[in-house]
Amino acid sequence: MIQVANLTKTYNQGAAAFPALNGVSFEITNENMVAFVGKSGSGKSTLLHIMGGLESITSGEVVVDDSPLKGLNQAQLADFRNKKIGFVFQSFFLEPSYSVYTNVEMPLIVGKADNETRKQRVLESLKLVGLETKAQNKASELSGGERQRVSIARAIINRPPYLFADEPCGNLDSENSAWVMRILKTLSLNNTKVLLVTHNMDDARIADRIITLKDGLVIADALT
Amino acid sequence: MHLRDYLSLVAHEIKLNLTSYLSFILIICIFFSTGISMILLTEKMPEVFKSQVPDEWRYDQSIYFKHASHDDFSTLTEMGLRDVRLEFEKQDKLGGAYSFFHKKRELEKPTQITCVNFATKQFVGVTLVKGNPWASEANSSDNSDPTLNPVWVSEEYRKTNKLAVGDIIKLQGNNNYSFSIAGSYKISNEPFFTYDETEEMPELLLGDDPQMLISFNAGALLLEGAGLSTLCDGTATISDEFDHPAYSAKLLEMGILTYGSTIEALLEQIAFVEYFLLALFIVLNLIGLLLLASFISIAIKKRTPFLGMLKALGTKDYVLAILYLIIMEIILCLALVLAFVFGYLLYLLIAGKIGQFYEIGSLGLNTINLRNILLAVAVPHAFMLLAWALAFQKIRNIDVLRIITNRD
Repeated sequence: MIQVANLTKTYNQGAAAFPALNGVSFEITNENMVAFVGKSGSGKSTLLHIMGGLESITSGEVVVDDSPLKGLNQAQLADFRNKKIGFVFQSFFLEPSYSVYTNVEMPLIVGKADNETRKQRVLESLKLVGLETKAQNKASELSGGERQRVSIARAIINRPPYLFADEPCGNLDSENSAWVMRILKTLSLNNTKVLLVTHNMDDARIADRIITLKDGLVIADALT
Repeated sequence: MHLRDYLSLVAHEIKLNLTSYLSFILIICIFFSTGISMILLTEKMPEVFKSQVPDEWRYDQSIYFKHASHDDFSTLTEMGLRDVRLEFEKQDKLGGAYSFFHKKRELEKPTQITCVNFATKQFVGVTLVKGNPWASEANSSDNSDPTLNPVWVSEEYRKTNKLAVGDIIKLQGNNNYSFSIAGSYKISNEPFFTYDETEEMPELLLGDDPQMLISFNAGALLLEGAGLSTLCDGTATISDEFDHPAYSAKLLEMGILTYGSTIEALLEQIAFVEYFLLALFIVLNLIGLLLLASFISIAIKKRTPFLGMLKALGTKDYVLAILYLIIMEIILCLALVLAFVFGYLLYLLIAGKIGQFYEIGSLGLNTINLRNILLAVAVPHAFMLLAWALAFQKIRNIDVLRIITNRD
């Protein structure tokens, strides 16, 4: 469960302060896939980053599975990210010089998993995204859609309870976007809560719930 | 991360920048090898200096010990004048012990030597023309061949002709000692006289002022070895005579090194050279490690997206820092191994040149001892840890969000 209460985020404290979130509150309990929509600058990505422990809180509270994020130090946040969250970013965030296999394996390396577990999970994840035949290819050799599928495989390799996807289809054509959204939906139906940030309403409609933000505030929150 | 993961990542990072890393290892190696050669030289330089100090108190060598105390010559009282043994040992400021002085000399005719010197001192303007002050006792009484005996001419004699065979000469400041003129000759129209053995030598003098006596002996040896024809005037003390520019110049001309300073100054000179070489070693290491710090900083900057991704996936800062610590350690170790080889070769080259300069041959091989290893390994590592601390700070400052939002 994720609880967000009166969350604010202000960049550049002082005279040049810019408020990105102005008191956001909601709870995610039963929905398996939640989409955050809104125009550019509405604060949806900032919200996702804060829930994922990538960004600090100015005020308010974020609790993930009964653990408040405020007050955690960098090392604790790193642990939180490694164990609880899988990230999928618009820009894939892969290491181009590594093979697909090593890129997917990376969270397990960080999490000190043993060799056998690594091998098994990497192959499972790649199979899930349909890239098991490209395990030994370098990430730089893949197409954009394939790269995003690799990044999804990497995000789920640790079997995290939450998968945060920030504009995962932002750099993809419609065919690849459909591929990626299908994978995300499948994951949400298999014990992974997917939190999706998108500006594409077609993608958002796949989710169970859509939360709309504007100027750092939740202006709509509805089940689909 | 497991060790194999660290090594795997390190291998990958090195592979990505192989040319840069290898070039950098060579650059560091150049600085380190020069530094290591300096360290090796610090051990040999005292030997170079020491080689300039005579092991034995020989005819053609002299050493100045103006400030030596009576205690420093303790063995003299045991050995008497027949075997002058002067031992010196000083601790230098770096803890090394250096032995100076010297040394026994079997003085076959101590009284004669003393006489020579006293004669030198006593008669103003006395000129040693030729002769052998070490002539045997038998020969000294044989006045028929002045070339075999110590022969002296006195300007005073030349002018006044007052000195004559059998005259008793009292020594200045010590009425208990005297010697007599043994003979008077003319060779090539020059007047000469020989001297006879003295009486009541040398205990009285030894008791009165052993240091002075030593100086007298030194003077005697010096006179003979150098074959100086002009002695200093009789008003100066013998010790002061050693400072006489004429002596120094003449000795220098003959290739004899004299020390115009005290032993302490010599030790300071050695310590200075050691400190200088050590400082040079440290500076060279520092430059090498500053380069390493800069290089790692560039490498981190280049790999910021990768490091940011690892951070986003939950890698802790110190884990990434260890990654670069291993990389730096590999660079350092490879550079050090190469530097040891090149540094030793450089040392041999420099040592050979120094040996040639001082005409003491090659300084020879140096042993790789604990001190050298500690200095050559520990000092670069101390600097490397500083460089690594800077790298750690760079890693801490990597802004994951900026990378996520800006990276294509």
